[in-house]
Amino acid sequence: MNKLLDQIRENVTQTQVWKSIFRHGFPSNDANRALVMFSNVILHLHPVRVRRGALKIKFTWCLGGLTFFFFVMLAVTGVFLMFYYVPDTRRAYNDIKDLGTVIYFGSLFRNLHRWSAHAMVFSVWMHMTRVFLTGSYKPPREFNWVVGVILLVVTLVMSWTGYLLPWDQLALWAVTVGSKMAEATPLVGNAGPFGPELGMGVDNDVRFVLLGGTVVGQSALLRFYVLHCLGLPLVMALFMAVHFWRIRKDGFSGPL
Amino acid sequence: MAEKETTLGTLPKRDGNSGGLAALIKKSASDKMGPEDHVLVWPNLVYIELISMLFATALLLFLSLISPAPLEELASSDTTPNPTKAPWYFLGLQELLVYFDPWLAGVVLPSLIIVGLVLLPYIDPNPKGKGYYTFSERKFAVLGFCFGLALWYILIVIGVWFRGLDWSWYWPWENWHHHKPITGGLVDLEVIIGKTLGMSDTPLVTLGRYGVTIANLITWALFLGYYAIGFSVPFLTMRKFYNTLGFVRYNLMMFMFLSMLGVPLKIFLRLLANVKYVLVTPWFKI
Amino acid sequence: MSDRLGIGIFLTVGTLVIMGLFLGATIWLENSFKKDKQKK
Repeated sequence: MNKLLDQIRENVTQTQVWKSIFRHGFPSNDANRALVMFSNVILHLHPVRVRRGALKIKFTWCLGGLTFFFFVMLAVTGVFLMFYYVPDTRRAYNDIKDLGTVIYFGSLFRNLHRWSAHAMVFSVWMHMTRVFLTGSYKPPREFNWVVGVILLVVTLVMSWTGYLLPWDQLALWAVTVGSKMAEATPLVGNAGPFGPELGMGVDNDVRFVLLGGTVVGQSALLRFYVLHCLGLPLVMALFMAVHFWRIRKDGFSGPL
Repeated sequence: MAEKETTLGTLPKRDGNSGGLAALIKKSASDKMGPEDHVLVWPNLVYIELISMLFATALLLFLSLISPAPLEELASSDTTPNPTKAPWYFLGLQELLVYFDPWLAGVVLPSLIIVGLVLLPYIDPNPKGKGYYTFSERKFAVLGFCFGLALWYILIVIGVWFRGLDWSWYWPWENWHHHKPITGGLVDLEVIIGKTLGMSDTPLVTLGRYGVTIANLITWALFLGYYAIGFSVPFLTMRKFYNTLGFVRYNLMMFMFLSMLGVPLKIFLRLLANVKYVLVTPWFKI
Repeated sequence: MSDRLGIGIFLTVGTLVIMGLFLGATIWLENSFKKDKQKK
């Protein structure tokens, strides 16, 4: 029996197809363990070796990695949700309702999406706190901290744009509160300092640009939807690539 | 062509496929350490990541099952919920609306937080505490950061659990369905100063819509004085601190630091001294 | 007025408690890593 299994494995792993996909043997010896890290594009985010101290959970608390994991979770559940959602003020609310009542696993995916979003906001904050407390933003990693701050802002805006999509009372008024703030922007908001003096009104200021209108309506829903599902994830992916690349290229801040 | 030759000439010839760049890379601290300090990422780190992801998945599934996403009634601009709350991560800023006008609470203060965070690695010249937890080697930085963080979180806690109808303050044991009486009695600082010192309300100078009274000038002096004193005290008493930072870093850092301290200061002026605005002009109020 | 005083006290105590949590965690981690080093 064992012989048969060995024979089957041999036949599978020695084929041209298998070898063209996996450039390494089973990672059971050091050479293959190193080759895995070299030849796999995702694992390549890591070096082949790390210092023992960097592995301690109480050093990183896995927070950066978890943030990325929540992002992946959001992308996966988000794609699923997009199949069932149309950003039309006459439909959106019922689409969300259907997720909870008609669609298989609809509420599970919506709940997972929502909790991943909350978790991601919180883990970004905790990750930044950890990076501050270990002084990991110090030279040569200053710029990567800046990229991190950009990622923080994108994370928050992405969460906020997603908040409007269910098109219920909670969504509408939370976004109304937020857009009231935009109205008060100095110079470019109609209710902000020096805004009216510079000719800002309800139909030409920064809030108007954000909402695509004077109230939170169809244009705002469409704008938020496109930003939430396409625009901001692209920005996020770009800066994440820079963030991960630089963490490897900049070298380590300290003795790690 | 000649340029290329000279550049390459300065680099060592024998060097794999990095075009000579490898020799230019400074040896990092981890390169200097012996192999006994290092372990392979596969499996040592990869399995930690796998387990943490499994735990996170389990947690998300658990939360999804016990606390489903809410769906209230269809959006309608006719009925305004009371109170209307922003998402929890913005409630700290919404709570600031009690104490500051929207242009400050919603735009300028969050922008300052972002700018401050961006500047942080450039205004912290302390070479110590790089890559390990330490409070003793960078007391000021850690204290300042934790203070800002605490302020951010406590305002969120208040916004989430202590604000009810009309954004009034409700303790957990109070009846959250009864409106609280609107407590007025807030006065602008310049009015308080004018009354206490018995000054007249007639403006000294009038600039368009802006009637500048003596009391108003005093509030300007107090406002700018807060920053002026804040900037000069460390400069005069802790010259070593100033010298390690240098002129640009010192001013950026002090501006951020004083602005951060100014937030709770204004909150307390309002809570304990009934001050509505510290500084009033026709265009903006602080 | 007493309500405002209450809010002020809550805000102060709350800020100090959260600050204490973060500072406490930092100091604990600092000492914990130092101990790990000494063990070696």
